[in-house]
Amino acid sequence: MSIEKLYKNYGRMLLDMSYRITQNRADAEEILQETFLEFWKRKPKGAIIAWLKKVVVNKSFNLIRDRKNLEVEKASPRTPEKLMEDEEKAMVVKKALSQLKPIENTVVVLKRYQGMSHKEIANILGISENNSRVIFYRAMKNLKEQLGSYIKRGNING
Amino acid sequence: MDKEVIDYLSGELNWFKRSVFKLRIKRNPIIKKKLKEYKEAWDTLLEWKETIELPEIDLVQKVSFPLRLKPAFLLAIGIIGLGIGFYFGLKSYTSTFDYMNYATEVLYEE
Repeated sequence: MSIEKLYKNYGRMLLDMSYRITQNRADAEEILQETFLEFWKRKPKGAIIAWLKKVVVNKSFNLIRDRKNLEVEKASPRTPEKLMEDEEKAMVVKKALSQLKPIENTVVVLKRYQGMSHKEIANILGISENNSRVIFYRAMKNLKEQLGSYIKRGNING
Repeated sequence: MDKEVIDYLSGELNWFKRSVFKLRIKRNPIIKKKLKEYKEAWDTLLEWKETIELPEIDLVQKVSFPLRLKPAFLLAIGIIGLGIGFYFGLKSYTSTFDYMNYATEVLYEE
């Protein structure tokens, strides 16, 4: 498959994956471009999509690990009230995710937004399947605490 | 107990374990409460619906001629360059030689 086709078909998914981990558009776009450049240079054989996912996730994970504070980027305002409400909810979720450890954040994003199994996550992050599970349990416990207080105030789903 | 609830929500349980878990939810109010709490957090995560546009990137253009022709082309230019250089070099050497002969003759005559 040509690099152009790969970019058109999988670029959006990879960008979304990186954006949800880094929570920063510019970083996500840069990581995507770097990944495709690396792909062009190395021309990996075999499971190309798996390779692309692995590179994007690892680059995003390394970036948030090296960054001391994950800055929650505010979504651009799109005026109407409903959209403002959606943005507020998104901000709460983003903030809760940003307060997790980088590895926990990455695992939750891959599990919840990409629908990956622990086996896939373990393979991408180079950890054991059990480790992925433990990290995910810990992250979910933290998220339950953080989002729980917000839900109780009736701000979400209410 | 938390682990089971999280596995159930994230679809990690097989059909048998799911059925057993569902039975346990009915019988055990503590599990039911836990499930409700985790489910709220689990669903809330999807409230982040934001998507971003895929940027246009300039992909490498196809080269207009095969790269293997490039060295051959450079070699041809080099040979032609050497030829031209040799021609002018020889011409200038000949004219210098002629001039020297002429100068020597004039000197002798004087």
